[in-house]
Amino acid sequence: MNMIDFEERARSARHAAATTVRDVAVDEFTPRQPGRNAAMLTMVAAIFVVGGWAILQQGRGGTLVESVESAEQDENEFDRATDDGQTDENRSTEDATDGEAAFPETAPGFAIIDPAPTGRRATRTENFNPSEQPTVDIYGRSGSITPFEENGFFNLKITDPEVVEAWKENFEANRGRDETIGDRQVLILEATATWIDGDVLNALSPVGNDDITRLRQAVEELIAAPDTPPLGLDLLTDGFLLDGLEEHRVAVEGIVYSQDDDAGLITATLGTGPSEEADFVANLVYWERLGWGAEEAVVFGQRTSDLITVDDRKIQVTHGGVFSRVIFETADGDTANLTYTTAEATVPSPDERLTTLLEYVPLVRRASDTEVEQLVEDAPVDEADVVNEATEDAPSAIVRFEDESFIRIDTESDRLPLCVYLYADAIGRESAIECLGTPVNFGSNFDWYIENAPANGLAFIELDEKWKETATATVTLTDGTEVEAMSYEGLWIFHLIDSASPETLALKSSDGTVEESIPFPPDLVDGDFERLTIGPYTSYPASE
Amino acid sequence: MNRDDLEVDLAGPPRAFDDFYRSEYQSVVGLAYVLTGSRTAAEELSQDAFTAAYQKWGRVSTLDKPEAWIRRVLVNRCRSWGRRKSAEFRAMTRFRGRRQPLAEMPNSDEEFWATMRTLPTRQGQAIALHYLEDRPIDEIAEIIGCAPSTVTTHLHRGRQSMAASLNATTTNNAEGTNNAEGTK
Repeated sequence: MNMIDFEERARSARHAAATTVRDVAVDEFTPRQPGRNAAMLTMVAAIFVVGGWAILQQGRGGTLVESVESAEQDENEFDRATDDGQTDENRSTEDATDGEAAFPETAPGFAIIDPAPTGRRATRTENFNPSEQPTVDIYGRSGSITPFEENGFFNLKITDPEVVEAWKENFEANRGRDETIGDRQVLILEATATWIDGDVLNALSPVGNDDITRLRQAVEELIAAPDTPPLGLDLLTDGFLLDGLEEHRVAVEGIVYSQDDDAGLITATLGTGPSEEADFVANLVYWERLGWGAEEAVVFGQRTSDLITVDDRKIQVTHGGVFSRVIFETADGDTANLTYTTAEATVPSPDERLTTLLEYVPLVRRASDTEVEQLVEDAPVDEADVVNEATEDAPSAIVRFEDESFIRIDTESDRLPLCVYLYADAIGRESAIECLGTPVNFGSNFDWYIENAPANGLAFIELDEKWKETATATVTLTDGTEVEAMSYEGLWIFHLIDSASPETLALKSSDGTVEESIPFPPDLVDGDFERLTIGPYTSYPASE
Repeated sequence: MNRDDLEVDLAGPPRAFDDFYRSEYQSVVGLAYVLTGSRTAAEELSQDAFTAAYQKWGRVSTLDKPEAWIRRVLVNRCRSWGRRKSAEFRAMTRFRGRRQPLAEMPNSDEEFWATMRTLPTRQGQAIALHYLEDRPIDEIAEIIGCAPSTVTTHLHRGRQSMAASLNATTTNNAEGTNNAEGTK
């Protein structure tokens, strides 16, 4: 192949680009809403539990006032970028108010069936042939439905008025029933009684018979089991399933949806006590146009003793104490209030039924060191990008590989400095395969890290010069165990999650001799050692 | 911003802003276009950027280079747009494996910009500002928020990467000048 001069290609491309936009109209400027064509997704109905599919319908949203605020935000971003050399934007706000719609507007009277985000579900959907012109038999009344594909979604419109009526009349009473579309079965696991102009089939999920059987079995067992949180909750919480997976670990699964068009920003309030005061507030900024279906679903959180990850319709909360309350709140105050009161001892342990259930959610696994190294090595971004990205915190990383498998990297990893930036960069932004980069200099970002990083039982101790040569540091816990620190760039990092309270801090020389042993610095956790087990990141000058 | 402010603003842009808008809009759209690959998105993002400028025109107009300001806002918005778009695209691809953007320029030229968009963000921004707009290194640095030497590095690496992808030969004259002469 003949080699063409790059500059020549560039000149040609420049000319083409200029030509392409030459006819862009430069009319008189008129203030308007940013993202005029943007539509905020309104999830008007949802099937839920593991086999659920969202039915999504978008509506327009936003006001001029909002646009002004958004524009102002931009300017602030510029100022900030100018001041500190950062170019990052406050995407949390922007994502909630701006951007193109992922889905086209749908005419009233149609429901959109999301074929679901996972490969498993997509595979099932592929087996559903919308050209079959299937009939549907709902609650004893048969009729035809008209399926059509639009932008990758199977849309089903009930065309038989009798069926529409039957559906409406029996909807609430028949949740969980399966129906038949052609030779496909449809499982209605859960849905809200929400209609679009009254003629919408809310939720049909074409799945195979085996799937239905297994899903039904899993759900029935869940319902029948004692100490199982209710499956069906109030409106706006119907999309949640709260599940105890194991001690200190609670999973919330489901689809968050809103009746209006503010679904882009959801605040999760997790409480550990009986009061309404939040122990932790996390802003869940999810991909509003894709809902929970996107692996880039969520970014949060500011201050927490919890670890929350969200991946594909699953919100998993890892908590070191009693977990009692989850409130999801949309931007305008719609509240999805899920109360789950339990004590640690009553949180059920994993069992067969949960295992069955979890087969249907995309489980993430811990990254191996090799995988992490490879990810970083392969990441096609430069360090500057990573630094910028890392200014928005997130507690964990969901790393998606090209083969669609997932791994989760969290701060429990003993490869902490590396992983911190993996997660800070990855979650809610892009798949990490795209945005990971060379690990940034941990020290140079220390201030940010201390200020903003969510906690996960890590204690940081910044070494005084005289201790820089010290080989190791060990925290002795009240139960006698010793936790050895990792050292990185003059920092010692103690991973104390799920451990007993720290008691003493021993600084050792390279031969293991204890040079100094001091009480574990109470400043780390404001004297609350109990919190330290799940406590916040902090730093402490060891020489003081 | 309160309602009163809004009403004043809605009375119409100041003349200077209008001039600024008219003189810069098309080239800003062009920049957005090569950064996003979508003319629709380019116009949308450009409008948003100008809206931002309009709302703070009193201050923006006092800047030495309002055109740099508007481009800074724009490249940031394009970057965010890219994130959302890539996430959307991946999800949609998983669903059904289509949704290709419409080609809006000759394939070989589109290939050039498409290749540029595969570069790391800063590299791509630097390439666009350099090869599309003939921006000198210092201005590029100001717009994307890094040191001029970093811009030079971005340009060099970007060109090397793109040339390899495009099977093109390169000369090293582009980033060696502050006047982007190599593109003229």
